[in-house]
Amino acid sequence: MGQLLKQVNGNHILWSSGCASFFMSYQVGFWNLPVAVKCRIGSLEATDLALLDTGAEWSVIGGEVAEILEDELGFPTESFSISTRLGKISGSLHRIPISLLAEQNSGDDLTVESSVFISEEWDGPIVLGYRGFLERIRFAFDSGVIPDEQTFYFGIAE
Amino acid sequence: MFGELVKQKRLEKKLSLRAFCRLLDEDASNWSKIERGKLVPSQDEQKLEEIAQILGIQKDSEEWETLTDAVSIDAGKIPDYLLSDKAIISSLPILFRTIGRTKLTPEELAKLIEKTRQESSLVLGESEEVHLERVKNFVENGRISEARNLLSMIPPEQSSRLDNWRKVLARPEATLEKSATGGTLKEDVLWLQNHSIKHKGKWVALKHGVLLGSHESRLELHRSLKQSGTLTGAMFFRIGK
Repeated sequence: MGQLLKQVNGNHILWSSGCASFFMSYQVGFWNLPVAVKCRIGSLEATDLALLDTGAEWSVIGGEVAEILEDELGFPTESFSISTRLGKISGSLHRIPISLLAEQNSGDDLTVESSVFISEEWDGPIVLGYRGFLERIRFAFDSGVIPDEQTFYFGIAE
Repeated sequence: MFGELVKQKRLEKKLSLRAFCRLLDEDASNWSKIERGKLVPSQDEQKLEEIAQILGIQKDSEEWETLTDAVSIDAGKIPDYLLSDKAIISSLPILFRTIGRTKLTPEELAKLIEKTRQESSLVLGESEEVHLERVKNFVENGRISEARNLLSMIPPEQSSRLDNWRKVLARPEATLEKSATGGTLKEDVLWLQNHSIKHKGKWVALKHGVLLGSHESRLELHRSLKQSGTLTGAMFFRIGK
């Protein structure tokens, strides 16, 4: 996969530093993930799909994934509530690295030392939200003309 | 600023320019230029101490701080004690731009300084619990920059709980890795298209389009893959019911 370029004063400079395929309208139980991207949470050896949601204030991790991450979450902040599409949930903020993964020969992975809302009450998908994650990166989606050719481009925001 | 300040104190002490310069062992003509702001004063702390002693200014008093600030400002320097505070340093460009754009009159600037002093002393006088509650309320209501501002006014390492808020509210750091570990989704997508129906409502772990395991519980699946040594590189999917 190629990278995106930006034209500056007649010169082309790299806009994205990595890219990968993504899922559109991925159904998970009751959940429909309009845009699901591949990521690695903390030091997990495995990878997960996450809902990329520019309308979500925080990134959210709940349920069993939070339980698996327990050892590396560290000291929580005071508990507080956030509003989600399924109502209010309570939890606390933690600092944890989240990596967006580039496919081979498609640039490099990008890791954000993210602030994530961890809630035992959240049974939905991993959400990558604005504060503490998306605010630090740039990204673009190419929905593609051929099925399964959708491309997610990402880089560090200037 | 420094010159005016010294002149005012010198006159209060009823010291003529020449008498003051004799005590300080300075050339009166040069010192006159310093008092009129035509020459930059010396930054030498020993010299400042001598000046303070002649003028009856106690070291570490508020007047001493004003004197040392004034000498730094006249030299176009930010006072050293401010340079050692990272939170203040990061806020200075915004402060300078704001003051520059609003073109405050000296009276407005004096009011701003007084208000800042009052707010800082209020912040520093409040208890940890009050600060924690305020930060939490700001965050809960999406007022992150206000939470960050409040935390920047509280010295670090005074409360581990406040330091923790400071950590999670700090702007995230992003780094590029020197590797691409994503792999392609195509084989996994093909597997999901052909086999999802058999694993409805379960978690499945795939690697390059090959099923590594399946379970209702993500935690159990994670544990079993870890035990079998097949966890590395696995991709987890939750299949809809």
